[in-house]
Amino acid sequence: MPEHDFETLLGGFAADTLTQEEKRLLYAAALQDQQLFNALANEQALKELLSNPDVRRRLLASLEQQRVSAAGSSLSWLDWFRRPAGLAFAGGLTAAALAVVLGLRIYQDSLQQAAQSVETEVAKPPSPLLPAPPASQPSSPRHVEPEIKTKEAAGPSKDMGKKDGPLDRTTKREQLVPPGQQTGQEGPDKKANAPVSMLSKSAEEVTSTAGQKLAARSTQPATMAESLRMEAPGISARALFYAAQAVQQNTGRMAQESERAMKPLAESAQQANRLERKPEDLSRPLGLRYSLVVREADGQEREVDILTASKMRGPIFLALEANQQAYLQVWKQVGSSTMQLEWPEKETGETSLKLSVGQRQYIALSTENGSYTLIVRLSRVPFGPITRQEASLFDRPSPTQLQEAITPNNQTGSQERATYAVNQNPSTGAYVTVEITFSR
Amino acid sequence: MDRDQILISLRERILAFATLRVSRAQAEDLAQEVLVVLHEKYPNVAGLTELVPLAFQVLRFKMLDAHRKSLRRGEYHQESVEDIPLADPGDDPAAQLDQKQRVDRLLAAMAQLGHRCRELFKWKLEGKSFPEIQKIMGQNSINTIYTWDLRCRKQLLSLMGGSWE
Repeated sequence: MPEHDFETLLGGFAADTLTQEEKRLLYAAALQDQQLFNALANEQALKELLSNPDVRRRLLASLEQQRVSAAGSSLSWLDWFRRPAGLAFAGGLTAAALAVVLGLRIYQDSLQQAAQSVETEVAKPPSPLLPAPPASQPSSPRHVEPEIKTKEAAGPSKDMGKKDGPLDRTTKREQLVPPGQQTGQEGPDKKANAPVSMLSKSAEEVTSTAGQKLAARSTQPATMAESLRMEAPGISARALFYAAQAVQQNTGRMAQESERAMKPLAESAQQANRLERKPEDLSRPLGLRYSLVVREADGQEREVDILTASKMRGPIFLALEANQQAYLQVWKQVGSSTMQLEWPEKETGETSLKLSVGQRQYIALSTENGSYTLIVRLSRVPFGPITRQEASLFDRPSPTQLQEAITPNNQTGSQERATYAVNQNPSTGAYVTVEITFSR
Repeated sequence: MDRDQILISLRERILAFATLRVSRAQAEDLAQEVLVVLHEKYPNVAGLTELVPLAFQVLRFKMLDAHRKSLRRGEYHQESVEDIPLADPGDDPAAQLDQKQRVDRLLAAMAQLGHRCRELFKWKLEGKSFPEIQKIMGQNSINTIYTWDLRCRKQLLSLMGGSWE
């Protein structure tokens, strides 16, 4: 060891931890080097201090204490994360966050499905209890109006009846009562009270019903379509068509009337009806009305049946009407050839066009001789760009679709000749498809 | 190196060391007193590794004693003999206080050291030698430990104000 490096042994001298060899080297060097000797002599004070066991113990305790406190504070976040407690804490936080996110999503889904169930209940009035739409429709299609308007025009004596008419949702709830329980003793007074009694239903009851329907739907999804098919024979497609249309047209007015009627009612009933009154929640059955129309010499339009139309030489129009805002497209197929989009026209660049409530779309039929088939499709959402081959796959009507042909009735004097197709499926993706074979 | 050669070297070093602190005459007296003690009280101590540290210890005692004598004689402060209290055969309170203050200063200084220096001092206080500390710290060269210890000692001495006293 070089002489200048003996100074490095001074620390061991004070603590008396030098090995014999180190001591020998250090002391021998100190006898030769005055500076090293002086340094050793100065270290003697510290050596004397450290030779005291009490002092040594105090110093050790102090150093240990500093070590523990430093270890606690100097751990990096990674060291903290490596500890089991840290891992458990982080895992717990993650699980809690996931549970909150999933819970919120499930809660929102359940609310949405419950609302849909309520709408389904509203949109599914049993047909036998509905007063059959009067067959006495005006002869001209332009006079075909919803029944509600007729009732409104009937006079003040029917004001109460207007509220419990077939288009009033509160009355529809009343109509859900089995026929056996309706004794026929319900006079106008009782009918007038009906909305009040219905409005007093608590929100919990509505939610409960919705929940039951939701549960039934979730547990028996396959049987839903089946049950709808079973209900279909008793329901009038025409009634459903106008019921939904009238509901949409009168949503604003009904909201005001319900507001007035609900004032003295309990808060729970207000909440329940507030839920019902949301226009965006009214998912009514999608309906299509179509008829063949010819123009008379006097300019009047007249609906004709398909047999009559096939024998006529003049222009014939296919009149199409939806009971709510929907998108329409018409395909044409001649023989077994590939289907072609007949309407909207190619110039529009669209595959479907929006049809408003009450708007009647006229499509001129071809005057050429021969037979062809028109496939009319109606949906709540716009049709996407599809190929002709894909379109051919959609020409089958939905299992939940009802179709009803209306012919003139001599007893009522109605001259209506139209066909109603209604899809009872309340979902957004529901569509109506009708196939019209025409020949000249 | 035999005992006489060690004593001769020690005398030279002690004289030079003491001359830095006291007068030449006092330094010569101090060196002579140290050698007398070593000669009379420790005639059997002959090894270098025993005799040199013993000489340092005796030297320190003698220097402290000379300091106390100077105080007693009034060389620093002229006082009346009647005012000087009688010597207490028990523990010297002044020495106890001095030691306590030095320990407190040492504790405060150690608290300001870095982690490695504190660890080094801890192991030395536990009686571990440098080779043992080298193994604990996982160093290949013991010179690394020497260097670290030298730096730590200088840092501690600096924190103590440049003196262990």
